[in-house]
Amino acid sequence: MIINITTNILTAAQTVEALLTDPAPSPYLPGTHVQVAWDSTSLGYLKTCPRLYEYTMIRGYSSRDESVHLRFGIEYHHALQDYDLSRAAGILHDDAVHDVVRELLLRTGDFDPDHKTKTREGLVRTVIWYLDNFRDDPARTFILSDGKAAVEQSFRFELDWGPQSALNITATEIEKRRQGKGEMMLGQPYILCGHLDKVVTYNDALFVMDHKTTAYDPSSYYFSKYEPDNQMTLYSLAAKVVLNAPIKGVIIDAAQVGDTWTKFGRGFTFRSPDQLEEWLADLKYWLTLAEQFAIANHYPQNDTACDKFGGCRFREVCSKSPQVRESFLESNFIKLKEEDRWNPLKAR
Amino acid sequence: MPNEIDTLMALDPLELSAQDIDQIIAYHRKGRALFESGVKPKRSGEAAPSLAEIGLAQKPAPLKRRKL
Repeated sequence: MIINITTNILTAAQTVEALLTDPAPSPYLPGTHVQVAWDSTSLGYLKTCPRLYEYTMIRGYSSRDESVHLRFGIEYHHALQDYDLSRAAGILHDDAVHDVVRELLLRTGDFDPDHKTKTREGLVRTVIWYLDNFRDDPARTFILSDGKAAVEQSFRFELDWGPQSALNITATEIEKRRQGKGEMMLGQPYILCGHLDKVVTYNDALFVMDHKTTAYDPSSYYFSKYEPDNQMTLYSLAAKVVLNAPIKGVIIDAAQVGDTWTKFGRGFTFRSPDQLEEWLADLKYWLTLAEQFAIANHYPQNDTACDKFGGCRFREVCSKSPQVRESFLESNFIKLKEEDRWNPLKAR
Repeated sequence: MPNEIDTLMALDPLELSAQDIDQIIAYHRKGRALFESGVKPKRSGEAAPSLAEIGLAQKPAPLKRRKL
């Protein structure tokens, strides 16, 4: 079911260059909202609620405090990646921590959110505490065949099937397509993409490692929600495809960020080959649904999901009468410019 | 009232010296030691107990054994 694997191991310089020079290609078929490039985030929106998917992915609405969580998470991941790369280069722990903190402070000089826990101080504290807590981590960073540490691995691979819409493009559209500019072509298959925080060896087995920041206690109850889980299954599948080696599953390192403290927990979630095959088979139904929603330009509410995950950010919108929803959206949410909206194809 | 760490964190990061960064790291490491000993670190501006006050900074006095 999977062909055309593209592993895109971006160096920091390539990432910056890509960001500065090449805008990310659109994840949709041209002139449509049929999404062909999917990652766990956009799939998660779709599976949770088509209306949530529409508001976030298609229309680009974002809540005002969502950017705090996103920025906090991005900087946290960036700092941990910097540390892994330093250690892989032979730099000692304390020197690596010093360098990481210096760079983190430089990057976050503008980060001053109005949030109780996800503050700049909380970010620096969480990074330092994590690195010290896992100083002698038995989960060791996997070294790829080219000698590079398997951190921040971008992946992109095509499935052997695509949207029906890609086969129905008119001759006029075909003439408008330009080769090699990242636009979707006739017969475009679906693409699965994303980023793996790290691949590690643990007890002689390969795992993906994923870092999470949360407000919740990283207890066994917290980790039970990853069985099953869309993102963890995709990561397990991606690592297996990209490394062409058996992956046992994902190690989840969760950081509960308090106002003056951070608490860490580690959980494991496993995926068998049968589970990965089942996820791919189910994916076909989900993406067919997404295409139907896009063609009909109608994304139904899943009104059984409104209270999940701490409550949907659009719950108040959906609880309003349809006639007033638009004005409520405009006044209470930020509408991101198209280039700032979530795009699975955007380099990170 | 802001403490010294607040002052350092508020500086332009380009003005931070290596010693400033070491001080920030040491402050957070102290906070972690307190937390792991069961003491919740206080918010910035509040005086936190020192490591000595919670018995972490100094080695315990050697036991004096009776001669048998």
